[in-house]
Parts: sequence; structure tokens; C-alpha cells
Amino acid sequence: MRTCSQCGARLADSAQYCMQCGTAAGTSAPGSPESDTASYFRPALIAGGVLGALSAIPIVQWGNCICCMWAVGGGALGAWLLGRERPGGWATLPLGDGAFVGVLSGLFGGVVATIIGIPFRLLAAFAMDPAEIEELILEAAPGIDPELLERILQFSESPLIFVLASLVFNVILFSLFAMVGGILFAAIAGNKGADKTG
Amino acid sequence: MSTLASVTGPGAARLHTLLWSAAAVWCGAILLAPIAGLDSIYAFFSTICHQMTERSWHLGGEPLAVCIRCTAIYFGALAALAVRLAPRTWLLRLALGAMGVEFIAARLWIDWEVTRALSGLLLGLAAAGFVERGLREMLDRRRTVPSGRVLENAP
Repeated sequence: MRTCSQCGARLADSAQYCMQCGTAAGTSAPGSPESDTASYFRPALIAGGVLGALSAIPIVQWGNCICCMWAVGGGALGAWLLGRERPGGWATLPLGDGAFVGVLSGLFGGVVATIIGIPFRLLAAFAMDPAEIEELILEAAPGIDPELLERILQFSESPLIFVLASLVFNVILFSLFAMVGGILFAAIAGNKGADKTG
Repeated sequence: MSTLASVTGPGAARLHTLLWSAAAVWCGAILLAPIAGLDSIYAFFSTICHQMTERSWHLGGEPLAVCIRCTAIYFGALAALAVRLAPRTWLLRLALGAMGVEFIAARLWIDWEVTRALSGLLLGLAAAGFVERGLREMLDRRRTVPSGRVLENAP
């Protein structure tokens, strides 16, 4: 019989929270492979690599314009890989683990996307002059604020700032959407306790 | 309608408020872009949505910051958080299936605004509760040391 680590109340086998004090019950025994944070890294690295590559390659990266598809898919891939390494399979993967591996996948993916994107950015910077970039922006957003346009052009002239800004942006956005992907995968893959505790 | 209220603790209530507020800001930004004509908001959302004018709702003659499907997803999630809609696995599976069918159908024979909006709304409604629960589980788990005890100074 499991008991709450905080108040000592008895817990059902499937309980994720203590109904007496609200403390998280956890699903893995202390010291078990599930509780080892390192076990999240391998799936997250693979998933992050895939989502980062897909999000950086020109044309392919447009998949993210469909509800951040590559980021959400990357989080789901991370959760699937993590579940495969668990004794119970991905059908028993807790939502919290799906979320955590999703966040890690997004973090790695953001870094990978930025690194892979560097040569493409450099290529674009050498191949196009500021006038061409301005023309392209004005085509995409005809009513753009002149000040914003000026700032974007300044950004494009200093690749390092552009890369750093991309890194921060990618890491935050990919982590958010990959977390959602990881959670949704864990939910539809058969998180048995999800409905019962609701 | 069942709610999450029965399983929420003090920390969970704070997380719910934070998540709801973040969702409200996100949805507010989608509406603010055409109203205030803020290009920076359009630029931000352009990385996660195609923003095709003909596939977007308009406000004051200007398109919203994201397409109809995305708008419906985000506002569905906001509504689900507002009413604390309990997560249901069958509903999420139904919503994902419906969106998949609608996505394919839109490219083959039926491409209506209403079907895009409904499939998005359903997915937003179904997913929000799971996202909240997953986030809560993750944060609770990160606060728990290997011995199984919860850190006393954890926020």
C-alpha cells in the first residue's frame, strides 16, 4: 500500500495526488529508473534533434506554420521514446513526464534549429543586399511600421544579434509547444489515471 | 459538468490562475494585432501560423494575428480553462480525430470556415485540461526530491 510522503494518508495505486493534503504522489518508487532525471535526456536529445532539423531547413520549416507542427510533433516523439524505455511502455506514461520530456525536447530543438539555421542565415546575408530584404519584407507585410522595418533591417545586418535573438525565441516557443505535444501524446497514448482523477 | 475543483490544492489554484492569465494574454494579443495595428504581434505569430488573410477572421477590416483554426484552438483552450473543464481522454481522441479528418477534407472537398472553427474549438476545449494537469504534474515532480519528500521551500 502506498502512502503520502507528506501526511501519511493511504493512496490508491493509481493516485497521482494525495486526496488529504494535495501533495503529488508520484508514480515511481524512489531511486527507480523512472525517477532518474538523466533518463529523460536521451529521448529529448533525439526528439530535439529531429524537431530542430525540421524547423531549420528552408521550406520544410514551414511545417511550423501549421500550429507549430514540428515542435508539437517533437514533444510527442520525445514522449514516445521515453515511454518505450519504461517497463510499462508509453501507455503508462504520466502526463508530467510527457510534459518534462517535451520541454527538454523543445530546449534541445531550439538550440539545434538555431545552429542548423546559421549557415542558411549567412548564405542569405551574403546572397541578398538590404534592399532585397526590405523588398521581401514589404511584400510579406505591406503595411509594416517603418520603425519596425528599420529595426528588422538593423537585425539582419548584424548576424550575431539575429542568431542570439533566434536562439532565445526558438528555445522559448519550441519548449512551450513541445511540452504540449508531450502532454497530449501521454494523454492519448493511454494515461489510465487521467480521467479517474478528474 | 465535472470540473477540476475537486483535485486542486493551493498550488494548483495558483497555477490555474497563472495559466488562465497567460492564455488570456495570448488570446488578447491575437485580437489586439488588428485593433491596434501592431506589426510586432503579427511578426511573432507568423512563426507559428501561416496567417493567410483569406483563411483568417477579420476585425475592423484587418485579419486577426492567426488563422481561423488557430484562433479557435486558442480561444477554445481559454474557454476550457475559464470553466475548468475536466480533461477527458475520449474527448481529446475525438477532437484530434475530427481535426485530422477536417484537415484532409479541407484539401479534398469541404473547406468551410465553420468546420475549421469547430474542429479547432473542440481541440482547444479538449486539450487545455490535459495541458494544465501535465504542467502541474511536471512542476510537482520537479519539486520532489528522490526520497519522495516535497521540498519545503518550493514555491
